[in-house]
Amino acid sequence: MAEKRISITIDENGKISAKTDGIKGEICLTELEEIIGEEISVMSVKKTDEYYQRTNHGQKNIQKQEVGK
Amino acid sequence: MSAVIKTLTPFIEKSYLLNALESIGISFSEQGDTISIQGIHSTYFRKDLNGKYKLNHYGYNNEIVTKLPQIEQKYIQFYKEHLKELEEKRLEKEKIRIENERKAYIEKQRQEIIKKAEAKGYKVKEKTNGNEIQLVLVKHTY
Repeated sequence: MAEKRISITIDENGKISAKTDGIKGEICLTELEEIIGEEISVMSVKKTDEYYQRTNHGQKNIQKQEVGK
Repeated sequence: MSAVIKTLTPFIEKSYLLNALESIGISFSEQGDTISIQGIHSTYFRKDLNGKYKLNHYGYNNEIVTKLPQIEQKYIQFYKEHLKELEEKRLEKEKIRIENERKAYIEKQRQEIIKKAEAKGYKVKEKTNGNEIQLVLVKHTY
């Protein structure tokens, strides 16, 4: 059983810091955007190792593209 | 030939005038728009048609005339103090309004995040650390 964890801090001025754990690939950013809201102004994004890890879902998509060449 | 004149500051606000008289130890009694000076015969301030309190008295040796500059000085002092007080109250109100606006925005942010997270199947744990809100969203997948 895998755990997806998102830790969000809202400071006294409404500034948000968020960190994901257990969410591999680019989907971690999409997941954050969907929860925090796309309209917020992001100042910086620091990608962790997990961001660069492929998800099973992602690998399938890549394979499909290669087959279709 | 030229001339330079200076007028007395018009005593428009009754409360400042009363405070001024009181602060320099002049006894008075009020009746409507008339402030009678006690102990000096037929001497009183009365609101004129222009809206200012004008001193009415007999003769120029009247004790109250010599005290007019002092009354004027105190009147201005009370006027300035009251203006400052009003400004501070206004600023305080503005400060409260801005603070409430900020808190309402953060609360809305918090509620929206929780709502979206729960809709996506996350369990939300919340705690506060001073003025910070900390949300931990957890979802288990198989």
